[in-house]
This record gives sequence, structure tokens and C-alpha cells, in this order.
Amino acid sequence: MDAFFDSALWQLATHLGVLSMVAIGSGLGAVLPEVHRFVVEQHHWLSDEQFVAFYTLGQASPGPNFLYVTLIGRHVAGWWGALAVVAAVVVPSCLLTYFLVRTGVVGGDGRIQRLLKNGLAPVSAALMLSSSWVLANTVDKDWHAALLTLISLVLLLTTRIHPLWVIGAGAAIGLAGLV
Amino acid sequence: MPDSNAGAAGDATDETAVANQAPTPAGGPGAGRGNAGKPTHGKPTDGKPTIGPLQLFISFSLLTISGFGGVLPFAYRMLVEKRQWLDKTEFAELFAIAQMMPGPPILHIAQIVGHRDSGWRGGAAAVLGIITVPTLLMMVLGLAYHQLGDIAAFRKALSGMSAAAVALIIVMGIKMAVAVPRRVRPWLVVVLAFVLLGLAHVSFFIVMALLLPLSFWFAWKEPR
Repeated sequence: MDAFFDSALWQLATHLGVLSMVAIGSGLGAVLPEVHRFVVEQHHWLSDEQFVAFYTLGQASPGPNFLYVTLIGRHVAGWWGALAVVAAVVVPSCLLTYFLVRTGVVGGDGRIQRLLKNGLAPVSAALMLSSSWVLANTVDKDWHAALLTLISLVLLLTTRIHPLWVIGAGAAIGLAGLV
Repeated sequence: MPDSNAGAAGDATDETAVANQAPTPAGGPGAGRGNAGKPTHGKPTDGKPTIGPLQLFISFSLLTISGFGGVLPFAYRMLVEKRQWLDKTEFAELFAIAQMMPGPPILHIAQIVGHRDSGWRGGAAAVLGIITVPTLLMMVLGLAYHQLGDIAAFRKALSGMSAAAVALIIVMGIKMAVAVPRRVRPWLVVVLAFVLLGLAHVSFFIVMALLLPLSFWFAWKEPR
């Protein structure tokens, strides 16, 4: 049994499970620096490059973005690992929602909601900005890549372009060997 | 109403199917879903035909596979505009609630909509709808990465995609930062958290233990 609790899969699943419970309002996007620190810096299960590749595939694939953890799970512990990490992220928060819906807490009193919102907003924003910083540092190794990120950023901020086009263009530019 | 599942195959015909099979007098409960835009009927759950777990699973599966780069924007289109399971206000409320709960917000929205319709089975069906197909797709992509990861062209494409994908998450960060009230104390929290997490690589849990109480204390003292 000890072997199980020492296994990479158990550690990964419990860590992601806990993170999903504290990642309020953003899926796992906001806790990305912590996921990165845990799987790359602390446990060396993935290289920087693999981590970013998995995250990117998650963005490029339909569905909730947090599902990039499927790839980390598969890499660390095979197909069962992939299913286990998805369950680790989804099941606890769904049980909590079930409990809150059943007890009628969801909805709640206006003052508490406002407090939650005002208290969490600065923290979540900083989490997201830290995620961008960590990712950008990993991805933008030279000025070509940094320029591509910058152009994509300007496009996304100033036009109503669909994100998938930006990622597709990135793939084409990468294929052409420009990055 | 079990045969509401019959409309599952074609999304566009779904609404008319419901209207046809419930030729009740105007204002009758069966007509409720068809004219959700009109304010004449009562509370959202009153007298609506049940959607049912199967239809919930199918609808949320369709929603999730159209959601590239985030599912939430598509959720509004499906839930409010197309299926009219929620009106604008209900969606806004649900959105706010989901944002405040731990875990991915889209799961909470799906689960609450499903639960309201048909209890825990509905909630589970909606959540499974959101994750099943994308998880399978991710597994296929994982396999592709495993097989093709060493091919130069694949790596090149992926590095270009990554550089572009980073911009997506920066945009999200900027949007969230813009929503933070422009006052000294909330922004002090933003800057502190960014420095500790992003620059100093302090453990997430330590940063949360330090900054969440501080942030809530600031929020508590904010003028109404």
C-alpha cells in the first residue's frame, strides 16, 4: 500500500485534486505555475518543452482547457493515469457543487458574494498573469517566438479573431521554420 | 416527457419538435420552453418539460466540442440563445456563482443546469457530456505526440502553436486584471502575488495562505 501512496500517479492526482479545489473561477489556468513547478521543477516528470507542448495541445483541442492534465497524467502513469487525473480534477469539485446545490447555499446572500468576489479578483488576476509569465518564459526562447507571441497578443486584443485561427497561424509559421 | 430525447439528433429542429408535441393552450406549461423570451410564464423550473439526462449529455457534448480555446462563450450561445434553457439573467447569475466556486466553472454551470432539470442524474450527465469527448480527443492527441514527437515538422508546428497559445493566456490575465477595482489595496495584492508566484517561484500554497486572508480583509474594509 505504501508503494501506491509513493507512486507518481497518486502524488500527481492528489496534487491536482487539491489545486482544482483552490483554483477558483478559472479551471486550472490560474494554477498553471504551480502545476508547472510541481511536475517540471520538483519531480522532473516532464521537461519544460513537454509541459508547454501539452498545454498547447490542450488549448488547440476542443473542450475545457484544464483537460491538458490528461496528457500529463498519461505521460506520468499511462492511460489509467490520464483517466485518474481527470477524475481527480472533476469529481471533488462536482461533489462540492452537488452539496451546495442540495443545501441551497448556492445563490446565497449578496454581501458574502460581494466579499468573495472582491477578495478573489486580485488574487485570480495575479495567478493568471503569473501563468502567462511562466509560460512566456518557457516558450519565447528567442526573439522570433517572442515576436509571434506579441503579434498574436495584439491581434487577440484588438480584433474579434477566433483564437483557433491564431493557433493555426502559429502552427503554419512554425512549420515554415520561422520560429 | 421522455420523447423530448427524440429531438436529440437535430439541434435546429429540437425547439419546433417540443412546440409540436405540446399543443397546449397558450400559456400552458408545455409551451414554456418554446417562448422563453416572453415574460408570461412563471419560475424557470415551473411546468417546463423535462430535458432528461440523455438530452443533457448530448447537448453538453455538442457544446464542448464546439468550444475551441474555452467553452464558456459557447455556453451562453447554447443555453440562452439556442436551447433557451436559461434566460439572460439566470445565465448571468449562474456564471457569477460558477466563478466563485472551486474547480472549472463550466463544470459547475453544466452540473447546476443538469441538476435543476433532473436531479443528480442530470447533473452527472451534463458534466460527463462536457468532459467525455474532449478527454478521448486529448488521449488521441497524446498518442499522436508520443508517435510524432520526434518528427521535426511536428515539433516546429508545435513550437509555433505554443508561441501563439501563450498570447491566449496573457489575454485572459489582462482581462482579469482590468476587472480588478482601480484602488491601491487590491492592486497591492495583484503585484505581491505576481512577484511571489511568477518571479520568485514561491509555492502556490504559501502564497495563498499569505495573500488570501489579506485580500479578504481588504475586501471587507472596502466601502460598499
